[in-house]
Amino acid sequence: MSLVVRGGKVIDPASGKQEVMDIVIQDGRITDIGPDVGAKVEGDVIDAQGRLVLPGLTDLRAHIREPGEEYKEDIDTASKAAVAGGFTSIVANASGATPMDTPEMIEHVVRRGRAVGLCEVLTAGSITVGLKGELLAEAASLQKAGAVCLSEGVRTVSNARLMRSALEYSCDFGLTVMSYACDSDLSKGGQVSEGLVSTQLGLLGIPHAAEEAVVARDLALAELTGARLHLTQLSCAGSVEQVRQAKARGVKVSADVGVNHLCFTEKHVLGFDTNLKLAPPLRRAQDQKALIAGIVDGTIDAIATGHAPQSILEKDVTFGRASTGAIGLQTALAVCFEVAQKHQVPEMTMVERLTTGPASVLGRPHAGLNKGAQANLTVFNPDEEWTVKDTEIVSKSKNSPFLGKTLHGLVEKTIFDGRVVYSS
Amino acid sequence: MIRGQHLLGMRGVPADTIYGILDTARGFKEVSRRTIKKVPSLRGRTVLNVFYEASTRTRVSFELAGKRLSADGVNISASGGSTSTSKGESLLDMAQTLDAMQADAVIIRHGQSGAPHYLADRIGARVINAGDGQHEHPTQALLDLMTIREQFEKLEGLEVALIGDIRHSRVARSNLIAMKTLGMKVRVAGPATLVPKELCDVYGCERCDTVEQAMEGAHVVMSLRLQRERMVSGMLPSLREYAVEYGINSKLLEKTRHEAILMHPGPVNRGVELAADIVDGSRSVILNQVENGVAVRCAVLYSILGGEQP
Repeated sequence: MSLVVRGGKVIDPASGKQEVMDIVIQDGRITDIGPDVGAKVEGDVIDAQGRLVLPGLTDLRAHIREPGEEYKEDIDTASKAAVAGGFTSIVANASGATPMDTPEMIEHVVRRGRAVGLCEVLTAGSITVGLKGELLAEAASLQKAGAVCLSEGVRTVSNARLMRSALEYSCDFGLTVMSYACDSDLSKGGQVSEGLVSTQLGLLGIPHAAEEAVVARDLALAELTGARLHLTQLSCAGSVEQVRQAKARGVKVSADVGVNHLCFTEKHVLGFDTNLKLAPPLRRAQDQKALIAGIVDGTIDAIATGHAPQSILEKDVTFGRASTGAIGLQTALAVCFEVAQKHQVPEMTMVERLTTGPASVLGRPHAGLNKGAQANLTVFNPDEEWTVKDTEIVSKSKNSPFLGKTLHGLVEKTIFDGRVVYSS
Repeated sequence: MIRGQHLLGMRGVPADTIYGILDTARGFKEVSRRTIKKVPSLRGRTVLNVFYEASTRTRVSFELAGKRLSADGVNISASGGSTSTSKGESLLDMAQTLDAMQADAVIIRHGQSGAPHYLADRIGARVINAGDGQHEHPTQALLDLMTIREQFEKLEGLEVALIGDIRHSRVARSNLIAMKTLGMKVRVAGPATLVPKELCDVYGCERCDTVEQAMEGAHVVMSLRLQRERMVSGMLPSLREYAVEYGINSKLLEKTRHEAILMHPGPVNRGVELAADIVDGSRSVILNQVENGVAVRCAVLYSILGGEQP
C-alpha cells in the first residue's frame, strides 16, 4: 500500500528542491517525487496543498531524562514530543542524573528508542566518566554501543588538558566532540546574563567572557588536534565571530544555537519567568542578531532545541532557585519559521539548519527527499495559528516559555520510516 | 512596581504616589511621637510578617507599624532553620498556607530576588516587599526619601553621592529608581568589583572614579553596607584597604555642601564604611532613618489596606 503526500511545497536542502510536488512512499522509502507523480497512485493520500513538506528534522540536543529522571520526561514522551514538532531524529544528551558514560546506558536508550519506534533516538556519549571532568569515558565502547558523538551535557570540561585528550582520542573514531562552553568559575552562581538585566534584578550574572573564553580555548585545541569540534548552544556575538574566523582558517568546527536564543533576549527575563532561565542564559539583542547572522552566512550549522524538561518542582519556585532549561521540541519549527520571517532568513536556510546541518555535524549524510531515501518527512502548515497550552504539550514537563503564546505554524503530520507517526 | 495593590519595588511607582506616601508618613510620624501611639485604621485586618532572612530593624519596624495601625499581626520567622523551611516547606507551600489564613497583607523578606513577585502571583493578600535578594527594598527607599525631604523639602535637583557596595545592595537599587523618578541626581563611587558596569545605563546615574569626586558638592551622602555575606570570594583584598580607599571620613565630608546629610541603611560597619566619629556626628541622620522607617511603613500599610471594607 502506498502513501502519497500530494501537492505540498517541498523544501529540501539536500537536493535543493523548492517547488510544489507529490511524494510517493512505499515500504518505508520514497519511491517517487515530482510534480503530479502521485495523481494516479493508489493508496492513502495526505492532502498537503498550501503546506510545506520538509525532510524530517534532526535535533542535536534533547535532554530526554531517561534513565534517572523519568518524572520529568522519558523516551516515550520525548519521542512523542519530537514527532509532534516534526523531528524524526533526536540526539539524547546527558544531564545531571543521566551521564551516558557506559555502553549499557547507551544501549538502553537506543533499545528503548527503537521499541517506542516513533522516531530515531540517537544518543551522545559522555566525554568524561560521570560528567565529573576527571577521567575520559570509553569513547570507542560508547560508539560501538550506538553513541553518535560525545557530549558533556550542560557541563564544560574545565580541564584543558583533558579536553585536548578527548579531542585527540575522538579523532581515531571519527566522533564529533560537542562542547558546551561556559567557564565554571566565571559563571559560578550566575542566574542570568551579566549586563542590564542582572544589574536591574540584582541577580548574579554570567558574563559573555565565560562562554567566549572557553570557545577560544576549544578552537585552539581543535586546531592543535585536528579533531572535529562542535560548539553547542552558542549565545554570544563574540563566540559566533570566533567560529567564523576559525572556519576561515580551516578548523574543523561546527556550531549550533538554541531556538529560544533566537526569539528571546535577556529583557524577557525581567518578569522573573523561570521558564526563561536557560543555560546558556538569554543574552542581549545584539547577540541575538549575531546568532541569526551566523545562521544566514553558514557560521552556525544547526539549530537545536536544547529540549530540557524540568518538572513543576524545579520551576514553580523563585527564579534563583529554579533549575535551568525549557522544553522545545514541539514548538521549535513554528518558532524557527517565525524567526525566519521576522529576520528575513530564507526558508531553505532555516530548514537546512534543522535537517542536513545537524546531520552533517554528526558526520551522517542526510538523504533528504529523494527517490530511494528513507521516508522521513514533516508536513507543516505555516498559516495555522495555535496557542500553546499545557494541555496540548505532550512532554511530561510543561516548562515551555511559549505557554499562553500564539504561534504561527503547526506541524500537521510527521512521517517516520514511511509511517504516519503524528497527526495534529 | 506597585502591581494592583502590591508594593513589590520602586520601578514603575510614579512621583505622585511616592509623594502621597511621604505625606501620609509625615502624619504617622506625629502619631509615633504621641503618648498613645495607636490609631484604629487597620483594626480587624490581618498582617503577616514573613521573614526568610534574619532581620531586626526592618522586621521590628514593620511590626511596630502594624501595631500602631491596630492591625492583627503575626510574625513568621522562616530563617535559622527553626520553622517550616527546615521541614522542607517551599515558598509555594507557604503561599498556599498564607492564603488559607486569609491574610490581608503579607510582608515578605526573602533572600531570592523576585520572591515577592512569585508570592503576589499566587495569593490573594497584598504583598509588600521587605527586601528581596539583591533586587529591591522599596520601603527603605521611601524612608530614605522621607529623611532627605525633612532636611531639604524639595527633592528635585538634589545631588546624592551613593558610595560603596552597590552590586549587592537592594537599598541602592530601590533608591536609584525612586530618585530618578523624582528628578534627583545620583553619583556613585565604589570599587569596580562592587559597582556593576551597566549601572549608569540602567539607572541613569553618574559613575565617579573616586569617592571624593562623588561627594563634591553633594546634598546627600548615602553610604552602603558591605554585604560580605553576598560576595563571592576575591571581590575585595581586605577590609583595611576598603576603609582606606572607599571609607567615608570627616575630611571627605567637608567636600559636600554645608547642609549635607550623611545616611546609611544600617547596620554600619564602623571604621569600614564610615569612620566611627561621623556615624554619631552632626551630619548623621541614621537614627532619623530608623524613626522614619516606622512612619513610612505605617503609610504603606495604610495606603494599601486602608479605606477598604473588611
